[in-house]
Amino acid sequence: MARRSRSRRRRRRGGEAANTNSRQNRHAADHLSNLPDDILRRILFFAPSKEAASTAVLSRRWANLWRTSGAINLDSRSYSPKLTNPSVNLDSHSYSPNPFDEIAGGGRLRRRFLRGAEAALDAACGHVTRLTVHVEEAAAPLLNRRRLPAVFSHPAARRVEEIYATVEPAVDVYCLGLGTGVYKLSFRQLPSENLRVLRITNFNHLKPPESSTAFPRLTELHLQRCMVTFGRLQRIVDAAPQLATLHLEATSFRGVDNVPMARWEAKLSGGFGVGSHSSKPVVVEEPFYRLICPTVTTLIFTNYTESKRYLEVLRGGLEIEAPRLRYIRYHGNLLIEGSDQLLLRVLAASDVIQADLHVVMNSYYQEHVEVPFWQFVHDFSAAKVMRLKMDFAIEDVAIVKKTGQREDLLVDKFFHNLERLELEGHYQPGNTATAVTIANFLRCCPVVRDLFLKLKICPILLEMPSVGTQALLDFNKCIDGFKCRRRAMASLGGDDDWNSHKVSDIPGLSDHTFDCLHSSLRRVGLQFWMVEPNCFGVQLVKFFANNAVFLEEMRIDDGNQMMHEHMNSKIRRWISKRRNPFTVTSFGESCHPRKRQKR
Amino acid sequence: MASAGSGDEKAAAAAMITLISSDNEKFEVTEATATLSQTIRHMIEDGCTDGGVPLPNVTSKILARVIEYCKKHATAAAGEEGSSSSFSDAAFLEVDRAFLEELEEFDDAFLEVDRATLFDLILAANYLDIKGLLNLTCQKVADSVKGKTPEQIREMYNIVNDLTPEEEAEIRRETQWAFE
Repeated sequence: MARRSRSRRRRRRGGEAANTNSRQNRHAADHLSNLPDDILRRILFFAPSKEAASTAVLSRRWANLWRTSGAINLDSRSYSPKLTNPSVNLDSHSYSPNPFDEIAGGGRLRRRFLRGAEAALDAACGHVTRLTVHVEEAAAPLLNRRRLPAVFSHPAARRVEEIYATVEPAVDVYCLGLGTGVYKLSFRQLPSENLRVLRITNFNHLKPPESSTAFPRLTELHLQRCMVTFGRLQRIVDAAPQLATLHLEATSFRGVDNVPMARWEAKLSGGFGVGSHSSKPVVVEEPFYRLICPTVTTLIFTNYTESKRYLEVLRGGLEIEAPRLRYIRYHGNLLIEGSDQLLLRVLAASDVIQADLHVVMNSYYQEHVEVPFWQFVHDFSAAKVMRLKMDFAIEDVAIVKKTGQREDLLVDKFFHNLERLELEGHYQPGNTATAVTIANFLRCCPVVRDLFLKLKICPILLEMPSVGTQALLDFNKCIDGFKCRRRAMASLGGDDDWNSHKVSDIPGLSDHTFDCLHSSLRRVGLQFWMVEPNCFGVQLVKFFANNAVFLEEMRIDDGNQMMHEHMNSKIRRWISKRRNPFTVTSFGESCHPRKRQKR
Repeated sequence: MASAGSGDEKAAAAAMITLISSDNEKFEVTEATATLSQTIRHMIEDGCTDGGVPLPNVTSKILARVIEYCKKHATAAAGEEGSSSSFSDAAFLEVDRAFLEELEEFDDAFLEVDRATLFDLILAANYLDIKGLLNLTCQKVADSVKGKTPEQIREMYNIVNDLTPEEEAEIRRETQWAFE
């Protein structure tokens, strides 16, 4: 501090020495030592324990700071020889492709890691609030059974509030089809009294705690790429009476422990009867599972996987009973594989405020999905915000009046609280059922304020030539023609061509009235790829411009075709016919199907 | 955007706070942005923000960056558009991955500063009690020592070693595991 103020004084004195002084000044500002002890401890709180301990020799002041940082971060990468070579890139791609090389030298690495872990725990002073364990798979095999529990049950860790335990695979386990990690963990050994946050990544065979009140303060539980049976998961949840956040990501539920519970449940409730109303009922004899989470308010369940391995055990479906749920994020299949029954039902979710649902279809050719789909979204009918992303055609879930489909599914004003709806899915140019689905939603959402529609051209038209060759050819022709027109227009310098095109009404939509259009709807966002001046997206622009009485803003992304550059006069004309004008803006993000494919 | 706001939101947006840096520059920010700082939140609660909040420990250059951080994180907490949501439980939006990814990108770009600025940001975050910013910046420094020897750390951060060789040797003996 003294040095800094001296140099400041010097700078004030005069111009000729300004250069050297400012350099000194910058030098002084560079000093980590200018920060107070509390901040240095905070920095050490985030550092791996080995590096933190080595700061003891930096200077006298640093000698004991690391012991009181309040965190113990055990990281096997600190002991990896690669780390001492600064030229080696430390990201996961730099790992040796052959795990056996690592294992050969792994014995020494493991011994050093364990010695360091024990020493770090022994040396900790004061209240340790955070314990992280990050182990590379190559160092992992010997750490199971006795060694790792010793880390968690060390007296220094007894009062930790947060535990983050990760095993980093040496090779991509997903490539090998193993699915989940190979590491075992027992909740019995975890320090439990003060624990608030527990995040476990890449462990399997999670053993539940013995006591049913083992985690009195646990509010967040994250299991990522873990393996646990429903029976055990239920016991873990039961032992955490304050659990608010349950996060299950790519977690597998295989295991014998599932069976008794499932049979018991199935007997009690007489099976999983969602599909009984379906037009083509399929009887699933597999047992289903139920997870009861009485205190959970945030549920994140992202179990979608290409390999479908995780879902084996979910053949009978899963019910999550979460009466206090407020937020849910789901990414996974809509249906049980090979049937038309729902994979997931969420019960008693009347307090749900936001639902982010990214639903996937097992097969692109799945038929009769509309009934289970609407049953699925009905579980979240109290939501204020719904983001619905469908990895399939929006038209697939259309309920058409005439064909005598299950219209009772579309109870008017079903989403009576929904203020914001985001709908994303595929559509085929020329298919009228997409409009029917949109009409279905408008009818169900009487108070929606913000509506976002993201329409993507069916990737199947672009990806599967055997099916969609003709469509693709048409599509490309369409685009080429469009580009030519654009060029021609640019060379002529006029927009007249655009404005001479008539934009059609939309059958199934334009001929209906909807409550929200006359009352609540204020903002509409439309993302589509404009293939021609009278495409569905443009028709939607016209529909909302003509029918949404209180519209204040419309955001348009037409896939960088700069629609409103060319069509401004047309939109202006639509606006001029309204009593209340609205503004038109554009998004940054493009919805070009080819660009999307890369993601 | 303003056209989209209801009357209530406009009223909330109108609640502006003036922050005054050490070099007397004034910054107008919304209350939502300012209250990411616990220090300022307490001042607002105590009703002593009229006529501006002087922050004698923070220069205008650093304050501008801090406000940039707070704006972004306050917006993320309040919903995608800031003004878009009449949705009251905005905190839930934070769980959303898209937001988190966007925020992470922002944070990464935000940390692309020279060391002196980083330390000034740490001091400002500490003084203003902005937990997220303090953790972010401290984590950045912690990451920079990963895999470094004490000598490298000393050099990197201009730390003068005032230990005698005997003292240093003694410490190295005590914590031998950290120097292997």
